[in-house]
Amino acid sequence: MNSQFKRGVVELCVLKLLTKQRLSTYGVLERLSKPLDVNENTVYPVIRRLLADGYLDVEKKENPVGAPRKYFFATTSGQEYLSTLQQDWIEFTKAVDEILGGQDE
Amino acid sequence: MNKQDFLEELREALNDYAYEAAVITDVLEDHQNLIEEAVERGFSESDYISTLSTPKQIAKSLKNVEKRREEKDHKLLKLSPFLAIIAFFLIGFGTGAWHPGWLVFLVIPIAGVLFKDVGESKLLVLSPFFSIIVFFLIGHYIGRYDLSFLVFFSIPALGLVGKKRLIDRISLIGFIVLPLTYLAIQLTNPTPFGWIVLTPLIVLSFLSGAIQIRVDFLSKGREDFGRRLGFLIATATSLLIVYIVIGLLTNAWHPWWVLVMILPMVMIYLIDDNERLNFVAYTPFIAVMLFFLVGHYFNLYQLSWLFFLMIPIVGVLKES
Repeated sequence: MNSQFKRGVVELCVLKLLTKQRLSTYGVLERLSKPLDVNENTVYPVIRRLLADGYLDVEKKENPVGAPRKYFFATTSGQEYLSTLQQDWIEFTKAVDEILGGQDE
Repeated sequence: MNKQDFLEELREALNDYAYEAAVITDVLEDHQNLIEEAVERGFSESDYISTLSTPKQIAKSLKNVEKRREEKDHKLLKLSPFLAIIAFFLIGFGTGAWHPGWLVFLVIPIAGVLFKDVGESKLLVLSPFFSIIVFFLIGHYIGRYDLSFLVFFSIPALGLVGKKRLIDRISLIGFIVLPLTYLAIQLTNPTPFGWIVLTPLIVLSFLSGAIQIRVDFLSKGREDFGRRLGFLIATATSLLIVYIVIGLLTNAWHPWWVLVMILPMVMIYLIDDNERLNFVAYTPFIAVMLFFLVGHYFNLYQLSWLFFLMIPIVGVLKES
């Protein structure tokens, strides 16, 4: 899959996951790496970009055995952005489905 | 690789990309979290780290995402080429010491290292320049180029400082003790075969893996700091060997010491991650090489200093 396209899909999925629940980087990676065939080098920059753009926020929880754990979650603007992305995705896949499912002329 | 080493390499890689301090702290914390959580889920630390991208790749992947430290050139850095030219003329016309007065041009790269962020190894980066200065001052004013070349061994020695492997520590001691032994022999009881005491350094370079590291470097690209450092040490050692062989066979210690200029150029190539070559960074060294080779073999020192003007000229052209 084209890496630019993959990043867009990862962005959509990360936002969706973090709208539903608060997850660490590991948690996000665990859920996305197999189905999307991506590694942390694709997922982590996406998380950082969403964080920088204000679409994600982070909650720190003390950890008795190591550094404080960070759990990411989608902000209100992140949820709005997700709606836009989802709408774009639905339109895009619908258009592709139509092309792929169309009759040969 | 364990967590600590991985995070240390990641810190170095992030520093190389000049990310802001807060970004570096965040990224390190996140990767520490990532590894610790994986270990909690049953992975072994090293196994999980082996599935991650290299620190260099991680640092690179954030290039278009994170803020970088702004580097404003220090005034002295901007002025250094012109100050060097003025100083060169004052020394030249005032005392007639065009040689080694040309050494003032080394102020330009030295200022570059001092006033710019070159990572955490400024002493190592500066060592070739200081070595050149010491080499010429001792060589010219005491007339012992045959001994002053020993100062160049300080470059690989500094490269080995702080490395933890036993062979690296032994090599470090070797790069200090053996040149000093050679110096003691030549000062007390000069012999044409005194250089033999330096030959264990070749063996030490092999034992510390420098030569093998060089092959890995060439075949795998330049991801790993350890490999880059190893390649640097291998290059330094190879250059020294070539220089010593030329010196011993032809007695042309001067001007073949210019081979040493290749070392800082290699260092810049290894440190600089830009895909395009940064020609400005290489010009001081190319200028020194051209100055001496043309000056010596065509007896044109009075004109060959003009090569140093290529430093500010290339800088201005690049800026524009």
